[in-house]
Amino acid sequence: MPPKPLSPDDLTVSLGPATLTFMSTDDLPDLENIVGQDRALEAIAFGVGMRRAGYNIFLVGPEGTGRHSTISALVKKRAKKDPTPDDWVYVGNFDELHKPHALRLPPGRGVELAEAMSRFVEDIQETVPALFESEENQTRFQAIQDEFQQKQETAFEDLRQRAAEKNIALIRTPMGFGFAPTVNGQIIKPDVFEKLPDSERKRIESDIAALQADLQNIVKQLPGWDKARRESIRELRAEITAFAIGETIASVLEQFRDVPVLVDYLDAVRNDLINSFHTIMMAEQATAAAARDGHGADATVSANSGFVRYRVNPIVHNGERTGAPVIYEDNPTLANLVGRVEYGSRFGALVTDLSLIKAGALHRANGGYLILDARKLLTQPFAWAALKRALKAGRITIESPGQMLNLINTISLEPEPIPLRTKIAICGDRLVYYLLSELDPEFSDLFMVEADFSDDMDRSPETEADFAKLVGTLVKTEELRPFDTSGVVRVIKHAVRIAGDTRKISVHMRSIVDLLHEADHYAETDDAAMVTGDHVQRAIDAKIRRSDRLRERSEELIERGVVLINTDGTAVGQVNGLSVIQLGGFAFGRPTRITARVRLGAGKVIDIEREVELGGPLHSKGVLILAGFLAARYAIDAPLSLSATLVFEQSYGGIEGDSASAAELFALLSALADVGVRQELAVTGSVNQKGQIQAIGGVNEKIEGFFDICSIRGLTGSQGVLIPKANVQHLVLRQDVVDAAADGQFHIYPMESIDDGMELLTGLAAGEVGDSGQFPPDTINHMVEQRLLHFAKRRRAFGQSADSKERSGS
Amino acid sequence: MSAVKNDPGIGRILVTLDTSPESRALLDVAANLAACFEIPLTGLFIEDQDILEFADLPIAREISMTGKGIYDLTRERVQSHFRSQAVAVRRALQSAAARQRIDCAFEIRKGRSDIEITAATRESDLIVVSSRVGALSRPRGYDYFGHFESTEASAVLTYGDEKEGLTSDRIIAVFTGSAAAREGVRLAGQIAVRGRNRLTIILVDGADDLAVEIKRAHPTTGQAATGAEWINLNSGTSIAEHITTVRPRLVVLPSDLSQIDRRVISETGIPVMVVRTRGE
Repeated sequence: MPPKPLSPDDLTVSLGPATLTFMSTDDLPDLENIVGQDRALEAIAFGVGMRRAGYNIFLVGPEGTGRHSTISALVKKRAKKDPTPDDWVYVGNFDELHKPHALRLPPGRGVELAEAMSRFVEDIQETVPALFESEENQTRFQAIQDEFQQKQETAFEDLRQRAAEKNIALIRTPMGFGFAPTVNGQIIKPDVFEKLPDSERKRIESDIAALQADLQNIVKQLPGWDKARRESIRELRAEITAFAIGETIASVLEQFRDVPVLVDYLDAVRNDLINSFHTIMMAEQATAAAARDGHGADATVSANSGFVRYRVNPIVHNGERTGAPVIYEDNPTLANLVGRVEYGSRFGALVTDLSLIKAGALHRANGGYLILDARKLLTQPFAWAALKRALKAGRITIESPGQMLNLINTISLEPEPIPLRTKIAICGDRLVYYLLSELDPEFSDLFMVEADFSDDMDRSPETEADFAKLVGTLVKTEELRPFDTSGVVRVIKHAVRIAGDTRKISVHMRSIVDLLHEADHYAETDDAAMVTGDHVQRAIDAKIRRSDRLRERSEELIERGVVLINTDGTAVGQVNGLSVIQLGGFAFGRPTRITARVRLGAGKVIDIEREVELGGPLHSKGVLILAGFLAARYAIDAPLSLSATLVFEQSYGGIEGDSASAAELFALLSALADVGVRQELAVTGSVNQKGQIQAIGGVNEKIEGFFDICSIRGLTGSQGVLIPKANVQHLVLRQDVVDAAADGQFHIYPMESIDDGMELLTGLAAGEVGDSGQFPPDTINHMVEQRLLHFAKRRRAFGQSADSKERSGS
Repeated sequence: MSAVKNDPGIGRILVTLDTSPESRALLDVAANLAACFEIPLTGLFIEDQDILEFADLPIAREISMTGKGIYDLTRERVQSHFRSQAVAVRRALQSAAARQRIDCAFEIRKGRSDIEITAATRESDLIVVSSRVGALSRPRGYDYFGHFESTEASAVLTYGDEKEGLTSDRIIAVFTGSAAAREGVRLAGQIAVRGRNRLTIILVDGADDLAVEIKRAHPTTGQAATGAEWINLNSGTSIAEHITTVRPRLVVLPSDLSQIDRRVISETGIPVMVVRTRGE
């Protein structure tokens, strides 16, 4: 007996006020837990709770399943209870200026220190030079200068006078000094000198020799005197600086006496200032003068060379935070992740200082949680590797790609790495997760917690009620109009339709939220106080309408006879198959004519799609199964002497999947039995070698696709679709299809076997093998069997004829 | 530094050059002034006849700057040094001129330094000389203005032995009320405007009405002088004491200030520019 059509109740989900006992979403309590993601929630709870290294979380699941909102909500809740992390500041390293030190301070003290040191630097730049320029200290400096000058001049003047007394002049020569005899204050001419008596010349030579010795002694002492002068000046400067900064630094020290690490730091600041204040001041003045005069090339350009070395950069400040930070980095570039050292242009050179060290997301999230997107992270150069390095080393090292690749050669900083203690949560789809697991050996050590987000959840009265609460919660958080019962019911039905399974509800949050927004929009258009099922339906219809241009075009081509699809009559070797076309977020079904031709051959079923390389491997597999079925059922004792060709007519693109294999087999059997197939029916389903019909995907879209064609041409009451019985549980059809079925205008037939389908399609009994081992006469199977036997006999006859010819020929 | 409008008073600057550190500093001062007045700078290198004649003496010896050696000094050796020094100072001059974007000329003269400087400065208005100019060592406070009195230059700037750079950004002009003093204040004001220096005007006679006169007589300079500090001092000694305390970048003196006062002030080691009026 052919299968009976499904009742309308089987064609969609039935739920309504009986299971949802509320008037509007205002009556519903907020949903406390995230629905349908129990496995992921357990994993997140475990990952967040585990404080050991490596227990970072990878949230696996498709886009729109609420991974971000879930992890964000959960870690924010947890973070409130976590301790507030310390501040981190970068301060000058006075031994190695290009390697600033990182200091850890209690929350809020970092900014406080930065402000205190900023005031301190401003103060000392005012007070110390003022003290230097005071009359008293200028006099002390001058005294040192004068002492040296006096000593030097006295020595030279004394020597000059002693020489002059002997009519000898001290002369500056190109490379030094000399002594020349003079006459009337002028250097004696060589000829005059030659005419001097020997005794006189010897006296002069002797005097000059003595003076030269004295001069040598003076000149040799000059560097020592100068060194002593410089040392005296240096000591005086140190004394003045120490005095000038003493009070100021003591007040800073008092302010931070409770932070032991700062005592050492401030002591280092004091010592460095005493040693370097004058040098820094002179360098800054020279740089300012060079800038003023446009002599950039003369300026001193080096990292942290100025007073900026005493400033404090509060790179991480948690003073105003309660609990641990939760950071989402939307653009995880290397710099945004691990921080960067910025540069300023100074006289054409790139320069930097510790105030230009900028924090990355890892710094800001230190002691808390960092949420990242896998694809964004992996598409940023060096970012993934840097994150892994930071996690493995347990510290954040600021790296520049330019310097890593030696692209930038300029003065830079090497900030001291900061210890890292952050829980990382990465959201990614399954493909990324599995690829990383497969290809990155470090991945599984660093992301030991997999939180797998499901696309859907089991449907039950309890989960329906939870889903209604979810809708209510979303309505409130998104500030939408309340949904009445019909509105919520329609949303749930839509969620079931998205899941494609009457026993599941989709938890694809983005789709649901979008639908709520759009339904609210139509309610607003109607000036309605509540969103009803009608508004939700309009939103669904409008969304389809926005996307279905190609579907409409496809249906038009069929309607106009450009694409050949029959919806009435019968045809031999011709079946309406059904396929699904996915375009972005919209999928629709489309009938396709499948034809089969048979003739005598060597048992080969030729799939033309495969021959021209338009058929994918799964499709080809389905076709090869057909040959197995035919041989096993009809040609156990005889060779399968058939040659058949199968074609998807007017199909110009690739075909994949085996959901048309049942339709292909029906076309083949029709051709073999030479029995017409009802064209008002369409078929979907895959078949195995035993002739059993197996479930396929996209059953709703396929049925609706054929229904639409039939509707356009006019429903006759005999039209319908044959589907695998296993797919009945997936039926969530459009209301118009359900209504047509209720009116007896359109039918959905479940089939379990090829025989079920053939009986429906041909109106003939399939026939079962009787005790005689043969199919009953006038059954489809008998006709097929007979045709194949006929082919076998003909083939044997051909073979004998060929053998006899061969023998007579020999 | 912004340039001031060229003034017919200063049309050309001459700077004496050698390879000493003082000469390099002197060159920078002169180049700055030339840029200030937007006028060309002439560098003068003298192959000093005194040294050559000294080298001709059979007893000529040279003691190195470090005092570590005594070498025979010959005319060839001196001339060789002169040649290499000339190349070096010429390069330094061109470099300084390029930095200040001014024109420059370079001249080598052979002879006695004071005579050659006097001859070279007939067309210059400002002579910038080191206190070490000439081969013969001279006592501190030597009156270089008097030394070059026979030149026609309006001003002579001598650069002392100041080494430590403790000088402030201040320029001091001493005003006696003479025409040279007015010219000196005017030049000091221009230099202060150009170098964004603070200006102190010392009124030797203590006459406040002179300040009004300065402002009226020199509108441009007056602008700088308006923001200037005005001090009444009476003698060269008190001026020198004030200078020693302030450590200005430059002291501008009028030629009518007594030679003794000039000498006292010169002994401070601060650069001193002595200004006189044409034909004075």
